[in-house]
Amino acid sequence: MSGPIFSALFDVLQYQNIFAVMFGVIFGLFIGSTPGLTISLGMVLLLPLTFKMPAVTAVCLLLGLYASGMTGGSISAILLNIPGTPSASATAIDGYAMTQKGKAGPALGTAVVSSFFGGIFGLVCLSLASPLIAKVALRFGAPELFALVLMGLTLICSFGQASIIKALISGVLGLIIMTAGLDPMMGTPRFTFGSVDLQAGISFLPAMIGLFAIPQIILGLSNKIRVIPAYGSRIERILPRFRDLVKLLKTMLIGAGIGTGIGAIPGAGGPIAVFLSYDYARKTSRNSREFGSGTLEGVAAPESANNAVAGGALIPMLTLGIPGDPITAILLGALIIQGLIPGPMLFIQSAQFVYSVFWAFLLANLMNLCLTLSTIRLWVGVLKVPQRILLPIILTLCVVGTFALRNTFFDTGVMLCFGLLAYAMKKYGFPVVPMLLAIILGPQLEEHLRMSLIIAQGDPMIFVKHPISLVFILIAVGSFVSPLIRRRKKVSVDDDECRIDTPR
Amino acid sequence: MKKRNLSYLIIVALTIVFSMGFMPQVSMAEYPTKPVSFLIPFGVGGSADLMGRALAAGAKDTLGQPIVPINRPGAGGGIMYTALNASKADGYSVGWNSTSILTTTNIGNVPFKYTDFENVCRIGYTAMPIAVREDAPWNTLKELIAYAKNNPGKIKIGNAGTGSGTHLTAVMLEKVTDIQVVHVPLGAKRRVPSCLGGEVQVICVPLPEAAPQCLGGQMRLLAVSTANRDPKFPEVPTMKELGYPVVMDLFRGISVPKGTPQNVIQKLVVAFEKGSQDEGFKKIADKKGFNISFQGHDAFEAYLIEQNKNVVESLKLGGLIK
Amino acid sequence: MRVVNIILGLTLILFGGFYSYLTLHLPDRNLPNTLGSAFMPWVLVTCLYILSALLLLQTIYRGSAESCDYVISKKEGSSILFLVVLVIVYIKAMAYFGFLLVTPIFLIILMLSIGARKWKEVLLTSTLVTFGIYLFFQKVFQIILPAGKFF
Repeated sequence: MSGPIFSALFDVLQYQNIFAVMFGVIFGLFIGSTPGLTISLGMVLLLPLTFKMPAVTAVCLLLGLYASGMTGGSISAILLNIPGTPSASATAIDGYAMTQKGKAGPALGTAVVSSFFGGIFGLVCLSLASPLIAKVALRFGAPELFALVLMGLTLICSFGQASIIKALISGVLGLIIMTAGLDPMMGTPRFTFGSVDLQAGISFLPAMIGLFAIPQIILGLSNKIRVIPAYGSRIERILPRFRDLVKLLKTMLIGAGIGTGIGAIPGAGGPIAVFLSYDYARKTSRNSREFGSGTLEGVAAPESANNAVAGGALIPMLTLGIPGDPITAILLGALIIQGLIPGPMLFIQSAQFVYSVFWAFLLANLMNLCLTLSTIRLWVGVLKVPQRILLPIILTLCVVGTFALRNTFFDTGVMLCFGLLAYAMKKYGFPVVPMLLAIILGPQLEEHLRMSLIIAQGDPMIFVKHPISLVFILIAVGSFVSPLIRRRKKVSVDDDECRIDTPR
Repeated sequence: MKKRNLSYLIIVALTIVFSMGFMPQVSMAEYPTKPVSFLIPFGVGGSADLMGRALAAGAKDTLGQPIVPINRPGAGGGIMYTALNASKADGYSVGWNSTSILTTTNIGNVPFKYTDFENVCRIGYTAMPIAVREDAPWNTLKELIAYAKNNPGKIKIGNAGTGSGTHLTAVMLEKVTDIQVVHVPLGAKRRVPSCLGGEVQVICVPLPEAAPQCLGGQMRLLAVSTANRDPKFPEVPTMKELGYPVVMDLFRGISVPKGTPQNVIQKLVVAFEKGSQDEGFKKIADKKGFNISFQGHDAFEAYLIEQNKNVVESLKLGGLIK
Repeated sequence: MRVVNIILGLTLILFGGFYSYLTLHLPDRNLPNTLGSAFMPWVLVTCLYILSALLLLQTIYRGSAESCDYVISKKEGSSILFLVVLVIVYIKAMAYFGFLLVTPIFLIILMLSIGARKWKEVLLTSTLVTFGIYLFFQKVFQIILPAGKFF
C-alpha cells in the first residue's frame, strides 16, 4: 500500500512538475485577482499545453492554477473591495473593512493561511473519505439542493442590522431582477422586453463588480477624498500572530468543513459555500456582533471554505467522474484527453496516479502559501498608488473585465446599472449584500424548486419526505424567524431612546 | 530636468508606436487579412468550447490568419446565433454551430431560421444515447419500453434542457413507442449525478457526457440515437435497428452570416476540413466520443434540411410549438 | 426621512404593479403536472407587496430609527451623471475607434477629474496602463478587445 504512495511522491517531485506548479500558481494569482478573468478561462488557455505533457505534470499545472486562483480572488476583494472571483465575494465584507482600518496586511495574511488550511482539509477528506463523501453527495437531489439554497437565502436576515424589512426588500428585489431571462425549466423568455441579451439572463459577475466597485468610484469622483484607504507609512505586521491563528482554528474548521461538503455536491457551487460558512462562523462566534466591521474570523471562514471547495469538488470527479464545478469539469477533460478515465476503476487501475493527484494538490497548496505570503508586501503596495491613478485604472479594468466575461458590453451596462442601484440603496439605508446573495442564489432557488416538483409530479410533500431537505428547511425557517423575535424585544427599547434625542 | 521630460516623452512615444504595430493593418488584399472571430455558443470549458478551440487551432495555418475563439454563451445558443446573424457577412465572424442552431431557431425565441445563415460545413456528430445506471433492472431498450408501457408516468427521463436535442430525442422515443414518461430538464450540471443518485432512472445525454461513467462501469447504454452504431460502443444498438424510427444526431459544424461571398465560404471549407484532420483536434474528438465526419457546404445544407424536419416534428410532438 | 421611506414604499408597490402586469402576460408553455414560469414571479411580487406595506406601516406608526443621510447632493449627482456618460461614451467610442485609441483619452479625463495635475504622470499612466491591459487581455488571454470600425 505504501509503495505506490511514495513512488507517487517521487513522480510529483520532479523538477518540471515543481516548475509547473509554480507557473500555475503565479498565473492563477493574476487571473484570480483580475475581475473578469476566470479560473476556467485560465485553465482552458493552459489546456492545449497539457496535451504534450505527462499526466502528472498537467495535473500539477492545473491544480496550481486552481488553488491560487481562489486565493487571488480574495486579494482584490480585501484590498480594493472588488472580488476577483465569485467565491471571494464573502471575503470582501470583512476583508475590506479591515483594510479600511489599516489592517490590510493581517487580513491578507489570514486569508492566505486559512486558504492553505482549507486546501489541506479538503485534501485530507479527499484522500481518506472520498468514497463515503461521494456517496452522500449523490444523495443531494433537487429537493435537497432547494433546501440548501433556501438556507443560504435566510442569511439575508443577518445583514438587516439597521432595518430587517429593508434587508428583505433588497433580497426580494435581487430575486426579482434575476427572473429576467429564459425560464430555467422551459426556456420561455420572461421579462426580456424582446432583447436577446436579456434572454441570456443577468450574469452574476458583472452585477457583483457593479455592486462593489461603482459606489466607490462615485465617492472618489464626487469628494476627491481618499476612498481606497491609504496604506500607512508605518510598516505594520503582515503575518497574523500565531496565537491569533490558533484562535481562528475553530472558524477555519467550520469554513473548511462546509466548503468540502458543498464542493462535493455536483452543481451547488462555491459562492453558496462561502456565504454559508461566513454565516455559520458568525452564529457560532462569541463576538458575532463584530462580523461585518472587519474581524479576522470574517476573513478566515470564507477563505478556508473557498479553497476547501477545490478539494471537495475533486471528490466526485475522481471517484465518479462527475465534476463538482465548471473548473473540475475542465480538469476532467484534461484527464480524459490524457487517457485516464476517472471513476472507481481509476483507483484500481492507476492507483499511483491518484496518489500523484493528492501529492500535486498538496504541493499546489504549499506553493500557493509560500508564494502569496512572501509577496503580500507587493500586493499591499497597490494601496500606496495615489488614488488619482488607482481609481481610473480600476474603472477601466471593470469595464474591460465585464466585457471579457462574455465578450459583450451588455455586461458592462449591467455592471453600471447595478453600481448605480447599489449607490442609491446605500443612500436610502438598504444593505447591498442581501441583493448580492439573491443574485447568486435566485436562479438556483427557482430551478431546484421546479425540478423537485417535476420529479414529484407536483407533490410538494417531496421536501418533507426527504430527510436532508426537511432538516435544511427547518434550519432555514428557524434562522428566519429567530432574528425577527429577538428584534421585537430589542426594538421596543431602542424606540424609546430614539424618541428622546431625535426630535421629529 | 529638461532631460527627464524628454525621456518621459520618448517612452510615451515609443509605447504609442509599439501599440500601433499591434493594430490590424488596413488593406484591401484577399481574404483573410486579419484575425477571424470564432464564436462559440456555449461557456468556457464545455465540450463545445474545448473542441471548438482545438478546431480553431488546427484550422488557422491553412486559413493563414489566427482564428480567435470568443465565447458567447446563453439562451441555449441563442445569444451566439443572434450575434452571428447581426455580424457583417465578410467572413471575419464564423460560428461554431451545433444541433442548437435548429432547436433555438424553431422554438421561437429568436427571430430568424437556420436558413438565415450560410451553413459552411459539418465537422462531425455524436450520438445521444439512452443511458441507465449499472444496476438498473432493464438490460435492453425493449425491456425498458415494456416496463414503461405497464407503468405509465413512472419512468423519468432526464435531459439537458427543454427543447434541447436530448429532450427531443426522448420525446420522439416516447411518441413512437406510445409510452408515457416524465421529462426532467436536469441541465448540464445535474444530469449524470441525478441518474447515479437515482433521482431519475434514465437519462438521454450527448454520448461524451456519459462515456466516462459507461467506461468506468457505473452506467450502461441501452441504445444510441444515430443512424449507425457508434464506433466507440459498437455493441450498443441503434434505436432504428430496434424498430423505433428515431434518428437524431448532435452535430457540430460551421456557419457564417447569409451573404458571405462564395470564395470566402470555399476558403473556410478548405481550412476547417484541414482543421478537422488536425492531430490535436482528432485527439480531443476521439476522447470525447465525437465522430469526425466532414461534409462540405452543399452536403451540409442538405443534411440540415433533413435534421430540421426531425427537430420540427419532435418539437410539435412535445407540444413546444404548434 | 419619514417622507423618503414613504415615497420608497409607494415606489416599490408601483414597481410591483408593473411586474405583476408583465407576469400576467407571460407566455404559457409548460410541461404537465408542474409549476409554470409565472409561479416564481408571483411568489416574489407577493413578498414585495407585503414588505413594502410593512415598510409603510412601520414608518407611519413607529417612525424610522435609522440615521442615514438621505440626500444625494448636487455634487454627487453630477459625478454620477459624469461617470455614466463617460462610460457610455467610452464604450460607444471604442466600437468606432478601437480600444487602443480611446482608452488613453478615457483614462486622462478620469485622472484629471479626480485631481491629477502633473502632465507627465497623466500621460505616462494612461499609455502604459492601456498598453498593459491590451497585452494582458488580448495577447495573454486571447480576449479580443474592440479594434474599431475604421481599422
